[in-house]
Amino acid sequence: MDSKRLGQQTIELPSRPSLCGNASFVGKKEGEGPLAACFDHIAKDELYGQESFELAEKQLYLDAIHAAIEKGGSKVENVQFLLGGDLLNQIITASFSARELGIPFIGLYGACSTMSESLCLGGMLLDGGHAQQVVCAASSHFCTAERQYRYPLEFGSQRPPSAQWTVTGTGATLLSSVPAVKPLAQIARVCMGRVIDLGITDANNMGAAMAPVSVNIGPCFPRASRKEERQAGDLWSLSVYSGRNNGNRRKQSKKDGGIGRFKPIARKILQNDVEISGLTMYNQKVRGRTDVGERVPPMLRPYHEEEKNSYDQVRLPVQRGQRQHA
Amino acid sequence: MNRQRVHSDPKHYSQLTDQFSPPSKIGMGLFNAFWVGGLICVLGQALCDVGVQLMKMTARDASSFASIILVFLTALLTGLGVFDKIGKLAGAGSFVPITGFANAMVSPALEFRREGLVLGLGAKLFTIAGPVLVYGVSTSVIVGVIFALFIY
Repeated sequence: MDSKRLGQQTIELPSRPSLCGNASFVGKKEGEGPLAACFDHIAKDELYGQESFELAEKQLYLDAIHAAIEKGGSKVENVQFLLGGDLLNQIITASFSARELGIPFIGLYGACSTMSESLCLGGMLLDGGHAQQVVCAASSHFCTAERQYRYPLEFGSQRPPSAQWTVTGTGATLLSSVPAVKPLAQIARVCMGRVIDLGITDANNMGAAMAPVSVNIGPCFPRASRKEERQAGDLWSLSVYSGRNNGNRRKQSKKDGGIGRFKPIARKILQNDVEISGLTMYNQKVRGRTDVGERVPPMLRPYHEEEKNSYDQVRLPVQRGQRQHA
Repeated sequence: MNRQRVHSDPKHYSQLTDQFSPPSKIGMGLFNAFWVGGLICVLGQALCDVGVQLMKMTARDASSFASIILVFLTALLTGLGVFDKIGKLAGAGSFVPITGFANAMVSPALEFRREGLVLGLGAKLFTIAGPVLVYGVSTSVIVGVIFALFIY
């Protein structure tokens, strides 16, 4: 088992769990930004037809999960784990959604890293053969997070120009080791970030607090395979901080501590004054690389009807060592 | 860029953060705070004068009257979702006068009403204004004791 570990933080997933379905349901402000075309659904207002913001967030969560499962060609009954979290106390959005879905639930809290965290753990569950289909999801809602972490909405306070904005939206994905549809991407390796605190205390500057971790995670992947990962469209745990938008790109990229690769998206997002957590970035990446289906290893057989029926009896063997390295 | 240094040296990192964070527009901020705050004060003074001149109040009653009206207006504007926009523009200009205190009371009331009357509204009403009250009342007690002992 030790052979799966590549280093202090990085783990190899030889069975390459596939990402079959993804869905992102977002709020109105996100729909006005540059990523609008990437989202599955843009809510008309922050309440999403519910009585409170918390209920709206839960509804976004449920809808995104249903959409992801449907796009992945599966059903709620066939999903064996729901790994998810959100920003609120006792992760109520995720747990109330899990109550309605009835899927065995693993609640996660990693704030902005919840999405990446859920994908890392979901991928490991699949790779270990402990499940064949899991849903990974994360959400936040500006109006609920603002109250939880900062001031009431109607409180007349000023934000500094460097302040970021919590996303209103849910990202959900269906991971499968037996994909029924052409996978959007596969998880080759996961890298768990360490907590690196460089003393940012400004509650409005979330990007600056998170940036050191992305600098730390970057080098965890071996250099040769980084290129491979880029081609395959695999997943990165990342958080983004971009500097002042002064147009001097060269100067900026020297000083950003090695996260220059993510800059174009980061800059676009910051222009829209929206904080990016793992989930939007992630969807952006997946959307841009739908050609990865060709790289599905042969052992990932389609999900047949008879296997569905005898789902609980028959465990499809997850074969190892058949990685496609021609 | 020395990568090692970026994720190990808090002092260096905070310098980088400051360098790349866009600064607040101090000139514009001061100007907006000045004219909005000034306008609120002019309104307060006008209410005082109306009280004294037209409604035959004493100066003391008139200032209470002005405060009550200003608090009422702020509460109304907060409820209508206008005051947070004023606050965003004016900053301390709208926060330092009594309007800021009213906003600090009404906005949690609106926010936490959904969590119930007792555990929501009742428990969280003073989340912002609480420290002001605690230290304001404490200071007034201390000042009162000093006044009673040495001056009165």
